[in-house]
Amino acid sequence: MKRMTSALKESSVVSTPSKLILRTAGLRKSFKMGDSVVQVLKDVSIDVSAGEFIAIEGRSGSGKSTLLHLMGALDEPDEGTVEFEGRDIGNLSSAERSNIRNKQFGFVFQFYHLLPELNVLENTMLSAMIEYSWLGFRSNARRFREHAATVLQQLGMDHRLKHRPSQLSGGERQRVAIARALMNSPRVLFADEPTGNLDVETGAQIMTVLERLHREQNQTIILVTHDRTLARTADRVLVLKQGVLQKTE
Amino acid sequence: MYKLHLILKYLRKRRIAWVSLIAVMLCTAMVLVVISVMGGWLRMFRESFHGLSGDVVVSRRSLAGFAHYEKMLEEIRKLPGVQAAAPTLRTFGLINIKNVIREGVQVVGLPIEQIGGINDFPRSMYRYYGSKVEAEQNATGVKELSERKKDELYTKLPPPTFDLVPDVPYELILPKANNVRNWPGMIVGAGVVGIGKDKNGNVDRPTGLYEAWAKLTVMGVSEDASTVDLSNKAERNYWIVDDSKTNVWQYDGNTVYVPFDTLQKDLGMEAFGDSPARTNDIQIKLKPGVDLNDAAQRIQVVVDRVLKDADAHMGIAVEARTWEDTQRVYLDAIENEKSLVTFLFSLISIVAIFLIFCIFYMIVVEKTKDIGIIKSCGATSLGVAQIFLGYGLAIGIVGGGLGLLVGFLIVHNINELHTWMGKVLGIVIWKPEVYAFDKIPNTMNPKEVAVIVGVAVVSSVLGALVPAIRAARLQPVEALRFE
Repeated sequence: MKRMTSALKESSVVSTPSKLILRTAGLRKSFKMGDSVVQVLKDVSIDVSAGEFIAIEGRSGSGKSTLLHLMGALDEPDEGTVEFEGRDIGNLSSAERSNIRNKQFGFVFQFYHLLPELNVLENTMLSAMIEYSWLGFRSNARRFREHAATVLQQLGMDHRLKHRPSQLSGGERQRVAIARALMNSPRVLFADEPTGNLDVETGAQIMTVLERLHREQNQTIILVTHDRTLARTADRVLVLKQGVLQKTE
Repeated sequence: MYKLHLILKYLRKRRIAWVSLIAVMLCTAMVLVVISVMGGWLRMFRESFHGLSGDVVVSRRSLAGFAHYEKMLEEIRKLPGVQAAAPTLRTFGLINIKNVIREGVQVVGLPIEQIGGINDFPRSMYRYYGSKVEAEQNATGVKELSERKKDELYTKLPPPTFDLVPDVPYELILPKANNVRNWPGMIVGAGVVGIGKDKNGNVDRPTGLYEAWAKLTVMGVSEDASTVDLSNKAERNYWIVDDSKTNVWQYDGNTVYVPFDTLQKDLGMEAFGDSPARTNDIQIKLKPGVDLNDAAQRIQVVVDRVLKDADAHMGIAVEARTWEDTQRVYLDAIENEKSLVTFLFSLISIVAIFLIFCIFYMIVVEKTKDIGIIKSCGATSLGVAQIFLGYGLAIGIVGGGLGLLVGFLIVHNINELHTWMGKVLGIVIWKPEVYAFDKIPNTMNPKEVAVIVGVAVVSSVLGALVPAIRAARLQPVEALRFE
C-alpha cells in the first residue's frame, strides 16, 4: 500500500471543481417484473462538476446502480436526459456512446468484471485494445504496455502483470479493475459499490486509492454505495430512496 | 485489436469450442473421404472404360455383327478429326486351360498391332508393358515410376503382337501335339487365370502361365439363322502369351483376347463368295480437342451412306456412339450414387452446423458478462458480433484445415487402412467383384477439396451467425447484470 500511495503522489495535480461535466435532468426508469412495472428512478436530476467526487448513497434496490448506468451511458432512460459536456447522450448513436465509454468514462464494478482469459496487463489495456486497430495497437504496443504497467505500479500491482484474475485476491482484482478504468485517462470514473465484495481493510485500501485519485489527480468520481461511512469520503453525498433523490449533503 | 486477441484467446482457452472444431474437422474429413472415393471411383470407371474403347464406337446390337466395315473404315479414316480406326470382334466362348480351368468367357478379337493407336489396352498387358515398368523400377530403385516416365517407356515399345513367347519349348510341353508353333497366341484377363494379390499385397502370378495352352470353343451367329446351329462351332488351341489387367473387373474377370483374323474366321464372319466380311465394332480414336458428339454424328453419316451404297441398310441398325454413351448405364449409375451420397453427407454436415450453433449459443450465454465488460469499455455492437463471427471463422479454418489433413491422410492410405482392417478386424468393405476395381480410389480432386473446405468454413461462420447477432444486441447493462 505504501508503494501504491507514493506512486500516486508522484503525479499529483490539485485543482478545484468548477466546470459542469455531467448533468442529468428528470431521469425516469422503470423495469418490468413479471406483470408489474417497477418504477426505479423518479425524476432524478443531478449536476456533476469536473473534478468533483460525488457519492450516491442508498439502500439496496433504491435505484443507485441504475442511476450510475444511465449516467455512464450503459443504459437508456425512459424519460429525461443525460448530458456529457453539454451533449445529450440520448441523441447519440450507439457507436458514439461506445466511443464515450471508451475514451471519456471509466468503470469500476462491485464484482470487478475482469475478463478471465486475459492476464492483468491485458485486462488493463482492454480500453486501448478496443480504441485501436490491430495495426495501430501493434505499432504502439510498447507505449501501451509501459503505460499500463505504470498505472498498475501506481496501484501496487506491478508484480502481478502476467497473472490471471483467478490467481488474484479480491482486493487485487479490484485494483486491476481500477487500473483498467484509468488506462485511457477518463474524464469521469464511475465506481459501483467498489468495496462491496471486499473485507473492511481491503475496502478501505480501495477507497484510499479513489480518494487520492480525486485529490491528487483531480479525477471526477461518481461513487455508488450503500455504506454511509464510505459515502462521506466524497465531496458531496446524494441520498437516493426508492428512486427519488432525497437530499444533498 | 481486441477482436483478434479475444478470438485467439477463446480458441486456445475455451475447450467447449474444441468440440465444434472437432465436429468441423470430422465432417470435413468425412465428406472429403467420401467424395474423393466416390469421385475417384467414377474417374477410374471413366478412365478404364475409355482406356478400353475408342472415343467413338460403331456397333450393332447383334452378335452377328455388320458387313462392309472395311469400306466404313476407309471412309472414316478420311474424316477430319479422326486419328485412327480399327475393327474389333466380341463374342462368348468356352475355355479350357490345361484341363484345369474350364469356364465361359467373353472373347474379344483384336487387331493387336493397331489397338495401341486406338486405346490404352496394351498398357494393361503385363509381359508387354507391366514387366518393363517393373524392370525399370527395379533398375532405378524407384518404388513407382512417374506417369511421365511410364509414358516415355510406353512410346518406345514396338506395337504389341500375339506372337509366341520366345525361348518357350512348346514342342516339349506338348510332344504329342502337331504344329504347336502354329497355334495363335492368346491374352487372358488376369482374373481368368486367378492372378491376384497375396497376403502381403504382392501380385501372385501363377508359375508357367506363359507356357500354358488353352482350347477355346466359339460359335458363329449368322445373319439369317433363325435358330442356333450347335454344329457350327469352332474349336481352336492357343498359347497364352500375356495377361491383361485393365482394372475393370468385368473385363479382367472373364475376358480373353485373341487375334482378330483368327476369331473372325472361327465365327464365320470372314468374306466368302458374295458374303462380305463382318465385324462387331469399329473403334475410332479422335484427334485431341475434337468434339465427341459432333464426330459421332459425322461418323454415323458415313456408316449410313456405306450401308445404303451397299444396299444393306434395311433392317440393320448400326450406330456410331461416343464411348460415354456406350457406358452410359454404368456411368449414370455411379454419378447418381455419388450425388446421393454427397446429399446424404451434406445432411450430416447440417447437423454439424447445428452443433456449432448450439455450442456458440452456449458460449455466448456463458460469455454474456464478458460482452457487458467489453461493451462497458467501449466496444461497439458490430465489434462484439465480429468477435463471435471471427471465432466461428477461426474454428472453420482450423477445423477445415485439420479435416483436410485427416482426409488427405485417410484417402492416400485408404488401401493400406483397408488391408489393415481386413487383417486385424476382419472387415472387408471393398470387394473388387462388386466395385469393379481391385483398389479403392485414393486421389483427391483439388477443386472438390477447395469447395468442401470452403463450405466447412462458411458453415462455421453460419453456425456462429445467430449467436453473434444475439451477442451484439445485448445492452451492456443487461449483460453485466446477467447471472
